[in-house]
Amino acid sequence: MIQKTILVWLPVLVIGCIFAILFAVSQQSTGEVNWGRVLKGNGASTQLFELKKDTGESFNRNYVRFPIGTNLTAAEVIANEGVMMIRYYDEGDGKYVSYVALRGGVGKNFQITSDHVYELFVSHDLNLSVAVPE
Amino acid sequence: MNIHTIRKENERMMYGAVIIFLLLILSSYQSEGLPVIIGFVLNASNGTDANNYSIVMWQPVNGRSVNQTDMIGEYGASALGNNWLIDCFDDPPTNNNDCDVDDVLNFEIIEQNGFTSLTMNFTISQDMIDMGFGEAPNVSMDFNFGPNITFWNPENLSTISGLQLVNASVQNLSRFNVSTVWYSIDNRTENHTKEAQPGNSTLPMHVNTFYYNDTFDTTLFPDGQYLLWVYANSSRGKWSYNLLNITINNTGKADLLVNFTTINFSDPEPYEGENITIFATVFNPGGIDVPEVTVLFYDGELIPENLILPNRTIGVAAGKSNITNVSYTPRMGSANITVILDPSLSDYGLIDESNESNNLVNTTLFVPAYTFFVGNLSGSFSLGSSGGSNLIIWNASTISGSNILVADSDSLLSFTSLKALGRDSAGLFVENDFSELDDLLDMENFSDSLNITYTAFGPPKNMTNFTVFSTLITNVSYANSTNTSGFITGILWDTDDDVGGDGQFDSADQEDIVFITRAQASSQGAYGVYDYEVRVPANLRRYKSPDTTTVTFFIEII
Repeated sequence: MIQKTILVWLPVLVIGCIFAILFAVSQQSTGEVNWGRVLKGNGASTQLFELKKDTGESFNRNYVRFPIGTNLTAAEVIANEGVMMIRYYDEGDGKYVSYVALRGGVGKNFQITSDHVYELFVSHDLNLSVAVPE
Repeated sequence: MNIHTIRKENERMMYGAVIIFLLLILSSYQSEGLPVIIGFVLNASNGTDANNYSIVMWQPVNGRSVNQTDMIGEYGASALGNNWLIDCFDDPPTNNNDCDVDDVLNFEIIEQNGFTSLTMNFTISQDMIDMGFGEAPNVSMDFNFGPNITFWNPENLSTISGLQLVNASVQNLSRFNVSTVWYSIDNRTENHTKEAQPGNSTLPMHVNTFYYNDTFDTTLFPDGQYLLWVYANSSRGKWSYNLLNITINNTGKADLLVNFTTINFSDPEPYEGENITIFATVFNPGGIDVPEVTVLFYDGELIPENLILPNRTIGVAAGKSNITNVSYTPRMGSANITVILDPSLSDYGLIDESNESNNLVNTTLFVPAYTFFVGNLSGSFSLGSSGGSNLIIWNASTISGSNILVADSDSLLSFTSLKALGRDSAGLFVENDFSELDDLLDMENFSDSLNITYTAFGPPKNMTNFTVFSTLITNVSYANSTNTSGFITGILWDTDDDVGGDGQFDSADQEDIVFITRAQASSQGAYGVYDYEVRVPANLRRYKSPDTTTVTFFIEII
């Protein structure tokens, strides 16, 4: 009887773990760093980042690494329609530094560099276009 | 149970396990979507700027001690006037204090300079998680006033008995609730008691004025005078109080009372021999009038010889007071003045009182052993002939450094023979000079004797040099003339009077004594700005006879 129970439960545990791992991998995939797609034409090139709104049903995190040499500030990023917040983790302080598109900009405006990965929150799915420096 | 049933049961369990795994994973990922919290703070109604005050935010479930803070305004994380910003990520992950959906968060302004705010709260929503930030409710900065308390019953200075209604209105002056109101009785020794059922009362929110009623059982306390306090506490810990003077009288007897606060002197700092008046205020917080009560004043031990006459007789109505007085001429040193009502104390006197233990009070009157002379040096001095012609005129325009010497008027000084007290004629230290002079001036028992004032149990406290009649006098012990350091007074003795020939000051020869100070033009002293200030023992005038009333000043012209 005991052997029968083990034989029945073992596949249950194995299948459950497989489901869990698959789910986790699928979720992590939305959290990977978004390098954007480089578009060229008309003598200029831009990098296009596809940003997804995070909803309770679909879990989307927008981790973005901007192109090397980007000369942008957080205020300029949230000036794009639909971008509600940008933040990065400051390892030195052990804190997140956030800039929110509210009341004209709440938080300390910071310079965007390619050294950090930034997290962007958007109010709806959108494409963020960033000029690639020469 | 057959095999088919067991299989079905196992299938259900399998699906259940899978669903549990999925929920676990989902919930762990939801906790990563922690929002930034942004809030706005309104300035105080009196215009006080909320910027640079701080916000504290915490989850009630974790207690206020696990919190995050931010400074309001541009120097805080929001970098925006009147705003604050706290990122739930900032909390150390090890505290497991992350902000999740449906978590309740409290926040308020940290009290500083009396300003704080109501404690506000909000709930983390899924939308905040999705957007990455959320807005907390606006909050106003308010001053944390203590409640205002007004007594309605009993009246101040009233006599009460039995069960007494305590009634006060408590006005809330802030936006914070009044949390408790209570009363206590003080027997004037700061010994508060709440034995008479303090009656805490919790006030509802947003009540501006609340009438506090309670009942006080006065029979729990002996007859006498008390302070009745009513306290009120705001929910933010700011408390205030009001108090009344009341008299409890449950026996219907009189109660004659004096205490040290009601003994006054017409001059609380008299000099020796000054004629002053001692006033005594007698209270009767008892229940019946006292038409006549004898009041005695003593100077020192309670013996007939020490009575300050005449004895006084006054009347004191119930709940009232009356003042009587006697004239008094204080001696040098401390005088212990005692006032006694309705003697004798041993048999409680002639008047039956509810409290017989408050009929005596004593207080101390201190007359310093010194007289302090202050003043200016001005004008001109002339040596003239009988015909009125000036031979030499000295103009006192330069007075700083001039010596002023004070001696008993019976002294015959040899100015070129003066030496420092505490030094023999050869300039060697002599320890007992000051105590010997104290004996001669009857100052040996005073707390400000020469020995105590000028020496540190033997050696001089301070020493300086004076030049008198072109003779340098070294190692002169000195003390500040008063409690300021602008002027000093030294002591000299006249070696010319050393008849015994022992080469030092001694009580047998009783050599002439001189107190010396140096003029300092327009300097600050204890009594104002003037040119000189010198301390002279009041008994110096009695140092030698026959004159016992005057001392003589000498000014050395430089």
